[in-house]
Amino acid sequence: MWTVFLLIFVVFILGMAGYLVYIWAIKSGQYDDPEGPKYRMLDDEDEKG
Amino acid sequence: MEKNLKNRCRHCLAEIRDETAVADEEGNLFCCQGCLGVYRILNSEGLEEFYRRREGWEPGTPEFVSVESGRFERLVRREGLHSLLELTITGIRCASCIWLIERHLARAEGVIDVRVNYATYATRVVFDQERVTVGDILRRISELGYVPRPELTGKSSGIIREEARDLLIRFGTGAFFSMQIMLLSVALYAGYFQDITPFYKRAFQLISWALATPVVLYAGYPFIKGTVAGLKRGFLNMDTLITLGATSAYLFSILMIFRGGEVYFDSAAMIITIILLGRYMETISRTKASRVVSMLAELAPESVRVITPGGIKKISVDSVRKGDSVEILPGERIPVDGAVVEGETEVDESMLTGEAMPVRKARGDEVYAATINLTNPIRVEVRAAGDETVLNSIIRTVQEAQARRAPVQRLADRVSQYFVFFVTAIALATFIYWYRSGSVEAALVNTVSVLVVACPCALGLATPLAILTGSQAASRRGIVVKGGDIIERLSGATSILLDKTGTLTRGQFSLIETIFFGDREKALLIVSAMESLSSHPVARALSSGSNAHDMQIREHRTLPGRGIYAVVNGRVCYLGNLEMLKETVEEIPEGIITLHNEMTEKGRCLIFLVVDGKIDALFILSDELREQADGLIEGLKGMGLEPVIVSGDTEGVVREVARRSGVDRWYSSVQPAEKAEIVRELKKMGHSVIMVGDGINDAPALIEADVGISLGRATDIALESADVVIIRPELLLIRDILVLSRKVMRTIKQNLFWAFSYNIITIPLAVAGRIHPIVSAIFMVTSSLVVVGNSLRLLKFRGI
Repeated sequence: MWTVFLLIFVVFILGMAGYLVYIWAIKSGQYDDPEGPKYRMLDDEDEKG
Repeated sequence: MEKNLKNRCRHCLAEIRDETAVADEEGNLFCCQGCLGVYRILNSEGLEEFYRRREGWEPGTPEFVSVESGRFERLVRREGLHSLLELTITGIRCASCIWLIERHLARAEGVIDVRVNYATYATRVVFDQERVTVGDILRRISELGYVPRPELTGKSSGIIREEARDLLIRFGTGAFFSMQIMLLSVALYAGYFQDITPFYKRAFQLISWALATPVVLYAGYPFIKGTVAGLKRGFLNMDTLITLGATSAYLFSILMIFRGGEVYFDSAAMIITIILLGRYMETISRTKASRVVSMLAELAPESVRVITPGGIKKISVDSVRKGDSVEILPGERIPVDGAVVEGETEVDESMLTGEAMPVRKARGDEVYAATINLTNPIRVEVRAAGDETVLNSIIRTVQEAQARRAPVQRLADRVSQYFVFFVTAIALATFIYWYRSGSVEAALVNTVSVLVVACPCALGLATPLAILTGSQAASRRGIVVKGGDIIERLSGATSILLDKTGTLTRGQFSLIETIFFGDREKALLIVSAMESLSSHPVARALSSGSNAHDMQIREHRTLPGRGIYAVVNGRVCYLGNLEMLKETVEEIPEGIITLHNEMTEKGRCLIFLVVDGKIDALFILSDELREQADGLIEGLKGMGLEPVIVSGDTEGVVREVARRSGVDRWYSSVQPAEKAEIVRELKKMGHSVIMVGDGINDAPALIEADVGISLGRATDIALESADVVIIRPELLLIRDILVLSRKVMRTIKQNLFWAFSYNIITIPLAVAGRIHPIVSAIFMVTSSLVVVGNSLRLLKFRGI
């Protein structure tokens, strides 16, 4: 009987992890420039941060 | 001569013209000094990799401008220990340009971090103000051939970004919790048919409650806030409907947990989540629009050269005083109102008066701020600067009109308003009916369920989705629409005012006919040699494309208001108008005078080439109609709009343009303030008016009109006043945006119909007390899907 609630809880935690990653991604500006990464990943040298 | 054409600039790949070409020590050729400069910088910094990696670079000489730091310095903010400058860069042609800008800026002493956004070209520069100045940063951008620009709109990109992020977080929160609720709802729905035990039912409902709370209170907060703000001012709007639906579903469900009924937590959460998605889409399309507009803006001069006893001094425009003498070079924008005290020149006043022909200015003549000095340096005594200029009085009129302009109630809000009344009335009737039949509890339950099912989730998507897809279709064609309500107003327009100069016509002269009296080839060579000496609009029109490299020019002079004089290959040549002709030729044939008068009446202008005292050739120039003018007028008439021309030009010219483009109604010699007056009059007569224009003189009318459209390279004020900015100067795009706006409105109406049809089915069920959550959920999803699918059809719009 408790397995049902355990599963609900596990699903919630898994979802929560995804949710937190999403919030972090927004806050760190990853949704601000959807174009940039595909070009930046090809630049090897990255000076001054 | 031939081989020069094949040569292309080592940096920008533009074709090299001999007059400006330069070469470096290794024999690389460049189209101009600026490109050579960039090449040297890249080599000295080891960034020549740029030339290997750039893909999609369009050949063409970049714009090398010197930018004043004044406007930018006000944008600098503190960021931690350092300073932050946010600006936009234009002139970027490929992804490697961004790579180059970032590297070049980062190498400057004192620059900590540079980030250019690949999608928007918004740039953040973090720097140390002790070690590097804003001016240095701007110079490093402009010396590469890119143009740094401040944001034109009031909101800084930082605030806009925060708003978008906030909406995304609220949407994400709503989506995450709604998904969790959905899992439990499916169990509850299934349980309804398969007899779930009361224990599990109660437990699942309680968990749903816990999950729905953050959605309603946190994600739904913007709607609650909007409702409260609306109610305070006595408005009912879409927010009211959403809040009413979501909170009543939420509260009713809590009640039902304790009464053992069915819950609507999933509906409450989904309404909020889906509508937040709609809001987010609206925000991004608005942000994009304002960014495009600020990229089109011109950089007005911020400093002037004042003549003082101690020489010429550069000071800021704000600190110029009446009575000061300022110097203005050819090609510069005149920064003040005043009178010419020294020099004689021609001034392009088209942005102020709408007249395409440059005006001759000599000692004592008045010049106005924002006009462009064309031919010779002049000195001007300042009569008005800053706030008192004619330009500023126009800007003030625009701002006053902007403040006066009442916000237009959007269709969705208007519909919602009636709908809220309708729903409350039905809810009340339901309550009375069930109360009369004896049961207070049944009355309460059924009343609230009416409120719950009355909130159509699809309503929140109906408008934003159609507008988002519609503006996307528009922006693909180079049309920027500044807000959703504008599309609504566009579709309802009944009459359209068109500015002449720069809108219906090109705003510049082009050659329509040439008559030769002597050797054709030789005349053309002389003209193109002389034309290269002048930046006068008439000279540009005569640039025939023939190559004049072997022509030798000794001494040349501009004769303001008359033409130019030069000695070409040892022959005395004059190129100019009738005035010039009268001064240089002894006897002018009668026919020429008649032709001249005839042409002037039609707004054309005649240019003569005089070689060694004889008329050698005659050119007829005209500010020609754009190719698509008659197509546009025909299209507009076909759509039931009345086209009207308004112009500051003289009657003969406007009549000719009206005749050739097929317009029946026109106003000529219209002063800037009168244009707005005409708009007001038309509005009073019950017309819904669109104004199309590009000049400063059009700005008051652009604001006054129901929708203002600016076309092509417009002035700053016109760009700011316009609701729709058409980037490419193609007239047919005006027709396209009108057609598109009607399509969008049709889609919105269809969407609203589908959204409300869900209510038409579910409300009677709720009144009868026979609604079940699964029924409302199914209808909600179906109507949302229909709305989404219907809106996406707009993306297929490719013009007519």
